[in-house]
Amino acid sequence: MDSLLQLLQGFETALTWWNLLYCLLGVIVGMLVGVMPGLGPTAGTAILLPITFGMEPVSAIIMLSGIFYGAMYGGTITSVLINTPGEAASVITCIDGHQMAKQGRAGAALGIAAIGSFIGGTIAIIGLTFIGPPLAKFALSFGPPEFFALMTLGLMMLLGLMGKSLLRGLIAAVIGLILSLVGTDSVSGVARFSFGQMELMNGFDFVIVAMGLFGVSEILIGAENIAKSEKVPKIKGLFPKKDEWKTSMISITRGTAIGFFLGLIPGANAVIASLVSYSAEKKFSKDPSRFGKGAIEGVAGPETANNAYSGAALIPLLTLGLPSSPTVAVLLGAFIMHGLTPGPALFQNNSHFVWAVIASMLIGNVLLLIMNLPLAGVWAKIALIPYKLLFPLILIISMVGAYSVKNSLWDVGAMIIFGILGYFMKKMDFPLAPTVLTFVLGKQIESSLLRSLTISEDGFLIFFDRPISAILITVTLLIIVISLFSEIKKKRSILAHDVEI
Amino acid sequence: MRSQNAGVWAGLVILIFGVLMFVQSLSYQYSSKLGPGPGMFPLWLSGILIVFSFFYIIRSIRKERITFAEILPKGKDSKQLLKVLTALVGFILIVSFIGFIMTGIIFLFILLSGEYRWYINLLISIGVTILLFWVFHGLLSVPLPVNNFGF
Repeated sequence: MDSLLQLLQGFETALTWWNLLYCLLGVIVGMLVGVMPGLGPTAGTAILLPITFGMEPVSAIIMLSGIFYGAMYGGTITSVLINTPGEAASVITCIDGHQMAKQGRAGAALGIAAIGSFIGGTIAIIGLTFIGPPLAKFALSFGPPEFFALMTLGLMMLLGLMGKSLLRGLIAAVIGLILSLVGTDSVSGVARFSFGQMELMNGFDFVIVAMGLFGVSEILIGAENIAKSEKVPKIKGLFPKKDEWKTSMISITRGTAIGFFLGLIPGANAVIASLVSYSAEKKFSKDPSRFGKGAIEGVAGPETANNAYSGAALIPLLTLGLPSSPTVAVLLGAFIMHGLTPGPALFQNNSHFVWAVIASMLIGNVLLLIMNLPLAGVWAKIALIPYKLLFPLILIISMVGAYSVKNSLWDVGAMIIFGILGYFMKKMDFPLAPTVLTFVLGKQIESSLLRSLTISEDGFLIFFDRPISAILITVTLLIIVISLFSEIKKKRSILAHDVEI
Repeated sequence: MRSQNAGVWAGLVILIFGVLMFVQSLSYQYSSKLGPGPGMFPLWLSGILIVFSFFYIIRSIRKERITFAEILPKGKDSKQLLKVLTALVGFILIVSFIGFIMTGIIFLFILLSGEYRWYINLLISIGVTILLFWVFHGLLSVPLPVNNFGF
């Protein structure tokens, strides 16, 4: 089978000493990021982007994907031990996980979470292996109108499913789009919105925007209330009881399916994946009253779901170039930074790169399993580093990162301004995800729109002439209508989990 | 100031931003014989933003009133926030004159002040800054803002 052969070749690249090292480094950093409350995977990946500048593209992406994954694993530890989600998707794990810890079963909770995460993540990547290439081939029949329709659909799904207010989400998205237009337009050569400033001629660098909007703003908000630390429960015994294995495995299977499916949809995020899994476990359980008091399925299911989600979320990224969540958008930015444009062309032209990354993710999962099971106690200690010590470090590292993009203090200043913008956006309950997603996709959205209109003979109708784009646009419009309806009926708050930031 | 409706002010800021962009977009070519030009997309986007900002302002007045008092920190927290911002801005202004290591030490010292005893604070500031300088400048060859002496 062609895919399998290419995967094996990918392993060849991924198993070199350097790439193994980068993978290890990535997952360790990811776990650290996940373990530390206050620094989510999005902010962490964004802040570490500049470090990857000097690296080979393959190694850079291997490391960044490792961070992405590791953060998912790391968030679990603090959720279970100190009832503080290390990152948004682990919120659900707090519910039953911490209860288990209080009953002295922290080890079992962490153990099953690690095992479930490994299974979910691995199966998702295997799914990627088999679904990826056919999907990419299908996507090759996409022309500019299809891409425009697809990107609009992706954005609308994001706006429609997340956030409490469609209006605020739309405003955030438009702001991101406008920001992406600053700079020299590649089609016409006109320098737009540069206002005479030389630094703006090339537009804002993605790293600066991401670090500012996510990283710096997070710190500005955190500066207001510095968290207190609790005592960490001890960890004894890593595995669940014998009779719990069977139910846990079933939960894991369900979690994998849920997470994988949601990962494919642009607009879902890991929080939704774990939330849906938890609700499903409760529904399918023989004794729902156990949930909230330390039911192991309440840990196994959601943790598996969020790792399956992370693996599956990479499928739309690699095959269609469509990021399904802010963290994946940061990865997309990283790809572009290193000269690789995710999308169907990537599988064709740079297939060895893609397979190397996929292979290294499998390796990453194994590494994480090894690191999590025996070393859980060690990681837990790290969560105790006081925030007051941590945030100045994060700030100065961010400034170094921002400076290193173009040797420019102007960029550092811009990052701080984006940080203040992000601060107010968060305070006023504007979602940040649409802004960063549209910023990353902005130029592509514009060029596919303009190209579609250029080849079209009847203006905007071209989107409805062609079957694929017609379907996509219709679904987009449907989502807009449904969102407006549900906004009027105020049922949106159930899905309001714009917290992956 | 505290009781002002923050939503209205935010909406106004967005509105002004939209108008600014709109006016600027008018100076770019809307379309040419071949198809749309650089002006089309920004014009429409800023126009849409202006419309949205109106909706947002109206909603802030009628439905969801959020006052500044609710969103901005008070007392000790606001001092902490100002401390961070001042340190950030100060860093940028000073660093090209006295170099990364010096500015870094001052930066960390200010941010950590009040949290530890001053000599521990100083130790951490110096230690971390030098470590960062070594890792980034020395090991990874990442350019850092330095003074005339090279550090």
